[in-house]
Amino acid sequence: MNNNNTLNNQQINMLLERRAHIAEKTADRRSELACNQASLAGAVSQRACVYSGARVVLNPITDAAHIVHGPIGCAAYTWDIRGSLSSGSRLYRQSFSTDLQTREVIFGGEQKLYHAIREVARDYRPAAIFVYSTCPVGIIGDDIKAVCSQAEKEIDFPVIPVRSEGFRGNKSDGYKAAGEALFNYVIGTKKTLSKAPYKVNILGEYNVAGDLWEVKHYFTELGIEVVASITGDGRIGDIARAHTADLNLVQCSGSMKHLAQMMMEKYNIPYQEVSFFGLEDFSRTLLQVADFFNDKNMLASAKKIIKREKIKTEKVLAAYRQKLHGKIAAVYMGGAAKTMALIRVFNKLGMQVAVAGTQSGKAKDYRQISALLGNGAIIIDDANPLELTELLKKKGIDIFVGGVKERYLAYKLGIAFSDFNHDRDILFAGFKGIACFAKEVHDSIFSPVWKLARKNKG
Amino acid sequence: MSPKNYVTVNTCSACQPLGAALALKGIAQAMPLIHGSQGCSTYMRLYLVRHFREPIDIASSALNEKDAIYGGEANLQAAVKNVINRYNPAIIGLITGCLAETIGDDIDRISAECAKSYPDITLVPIRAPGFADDWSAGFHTAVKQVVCHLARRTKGSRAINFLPGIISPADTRWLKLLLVDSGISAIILPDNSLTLDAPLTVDCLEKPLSAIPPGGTKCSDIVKMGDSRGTIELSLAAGEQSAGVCLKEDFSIERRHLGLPIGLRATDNFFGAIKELGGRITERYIEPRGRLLDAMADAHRRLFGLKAVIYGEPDLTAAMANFILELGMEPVLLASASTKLSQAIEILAATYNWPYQPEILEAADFKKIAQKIAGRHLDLLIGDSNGRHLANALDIPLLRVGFPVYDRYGAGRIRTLGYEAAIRLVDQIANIFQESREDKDRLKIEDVI
Repeated sequence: MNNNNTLNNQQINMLLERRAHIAEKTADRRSELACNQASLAGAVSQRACVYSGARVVLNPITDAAHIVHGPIGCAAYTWDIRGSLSSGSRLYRQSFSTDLQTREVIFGGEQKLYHAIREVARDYRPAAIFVYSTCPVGIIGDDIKAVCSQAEKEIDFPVIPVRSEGFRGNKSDGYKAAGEALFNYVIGTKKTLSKAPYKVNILGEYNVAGDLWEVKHYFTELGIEVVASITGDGRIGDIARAHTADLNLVQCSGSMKHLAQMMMEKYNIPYQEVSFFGLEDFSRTLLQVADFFNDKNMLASAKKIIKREKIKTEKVLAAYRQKLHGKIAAVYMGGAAKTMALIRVFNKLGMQVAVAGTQSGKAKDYRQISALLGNGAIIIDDANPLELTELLKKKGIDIFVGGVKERYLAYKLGIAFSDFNHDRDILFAGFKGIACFAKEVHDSIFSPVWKLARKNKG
Repeated sequence: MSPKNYVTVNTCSACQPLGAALALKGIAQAMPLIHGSQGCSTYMRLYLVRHFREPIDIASSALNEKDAIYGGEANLQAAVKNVINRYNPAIIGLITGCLAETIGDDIDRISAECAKSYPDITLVPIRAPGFADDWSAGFHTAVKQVVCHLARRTKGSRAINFLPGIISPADTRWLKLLLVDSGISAIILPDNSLTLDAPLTVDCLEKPLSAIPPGGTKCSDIVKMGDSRGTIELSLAAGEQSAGVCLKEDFSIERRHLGLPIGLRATDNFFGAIKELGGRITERYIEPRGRLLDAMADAHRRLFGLKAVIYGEPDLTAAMANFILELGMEPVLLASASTKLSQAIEILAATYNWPYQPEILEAADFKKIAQKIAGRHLDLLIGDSNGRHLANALDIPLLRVGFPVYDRYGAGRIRTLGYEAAIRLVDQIANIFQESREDKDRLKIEDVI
């Protein structure tokens, strides 16, 4: 039943049902591909679940307690896995679980959850408690909404149910559930208005390796208050007054566009999709924001900042560009926004992206990705390890950018890798971040190990 | 009695299906398939990959809402078909996750049904609900299921079955070499020495990759386990979940429990058992014994009286306690998420005549561990990376052993078995404390230029 998909005269082995999920960019036709579907059973998708989507979005809220109502695994595998940093509370780095046992799966887990919430409230005094439902909870029918509101009566902070049963969809549905939890239970619950003339929220920046801090200080320099970061280094109190901002900046559109749209409808807050990654992207973001506020001084400051930082950054990038020119990259990310930002940056570094994919891109995303790529490049949706392996080998990739699971797949092929996901501890955002990224790409490709591995013929 | 805890805080556990998948990774051309939602397999892969730093594939039946209501059989059948198509496995472990167990899919029936379509491939149903037991139980259950399913009595052989339990690829390599050199014909199950610690070779780079990495115990050898003359189990915690049980019941093969050979006396006993089976222990394995004693003598003043908490998978926890007692250290608390820790400790304490019974904490999490030791003086934590927060909070060092070790390199190459590994551990522990005693009144750079 294996089918050979002819791409650029090279054969890629794929299951029949997967064939529509890959396309080659060609000059004469638009590359359309199947996407936004449930993963194929047995295909070893790189995707996670609804719970995972909700958890990664909400977990960076530092002063909240995150209780996983479910079996222990769901909590164990998400404990402190995202490198999101905090400038305050460290509560979010603790793992709470109701650790469901057989008896609760049979007789119900509501009582245990209720007591767990009270225990966490008593022992940790969090600013809020998020309660995540998991697969078995959805089947046994625990009413977590009722339990949360019951517990909340005795507590002076919100207890927030998150509908995140793993089987109810995919990671994107988890992002949605997280956004809805914030929208329904947190945003708009605090009235305090700040006196700052210009106020924004940053949505979908998770402060991995301190990315948020690196971009935030430029907004401060422009005289803009960041009311709430949703959710990197986030605090419940700030998110509660997020409705007082003038503008929402949405960095990771896959995870946060839904919330931005809801906020626009209810609070009349417009949103802009922005990117903090890459010299051009971040410069454009600063100008865009200054434009929005229509403040001449701010625009002048933004231009000054960009000019100042560009000179410094360009100098660093130029040195790397010389070394990296002509190298070939592959990109496989969870969402499309990151994939596109990476393609733009690789182009800027004089490199070529020969394979680009996402776990959960939509048709429109793939059209945009296609537009950024050169002819002959491969676009792939919901790829699996065997497909990625084959693409990496056949396309002569020098560096692969993805998440933890993909790292060793690349290494075993003698190909360099860069983590653009949760596990990194290197700053990638803003002006400083792009220089770090160029260094990361360079150092990964030019390590002697790859040449040694090739020479090492027995 | 401390008040009842309803919430598990900072777990030291992981779920049964992960342990089951880990066990299958030590079987040749095996593929684990989790019958559940897509996220389970992805998260388990992530957890295993962070430890082993190897590509690790686990398939999923990717159940969605409709399947959760109407049953997941069709998805599981599709998954089996697709896995066979792409991975060409010799054996697939059909592991039930929480979802399949909650909706009540009959994995035994579905597996038997599926098997009819694939006569050349072994399908083994493994029931491993994530809401019961812990990952180590899932590991032993998977090994047992595979053995029960495959082992046959054919002609009778003189081989010995070795069930090492949960050990690192490097320890498995040591065990394999030792057994080859001993002249005993042995079947080791599982064998993760190559599958979870694969070399980077020119073959990887140039030849078409095999979908499943090479290595692991062959199914044909697992079949022969029914012929063996004895079974050696290094796990004391597996108990009734051990594959030794079905080898004993179905084929009357004697079981012998040894515990992990960590430290001097446990290794002595292990070598003794091999000799009793007719094996010879060559000089290269015995010679380090004297050097281990020498290392223990060298370091004894650094080690004596150090108070340690050991936590993690029950067999390793118990065996490490036995070892540090030999060093004059004090295991003040032994903890595990598993409820099989006491049984492992009981056996070791009796065998090795422990001077006292350390405190034991089962069904532990890191909060309960912290509560137990609050206010007491402690020098060292011994266990996996999940204890790093506690070690940091207590400002004491953490000796990383076991699974998972995701915040250091070389987790798959951590050695604990045999005299040489013990020497390294002695030096490692002693040096932690040697370093912290070093001269605080250091020379400055201007002094030495």
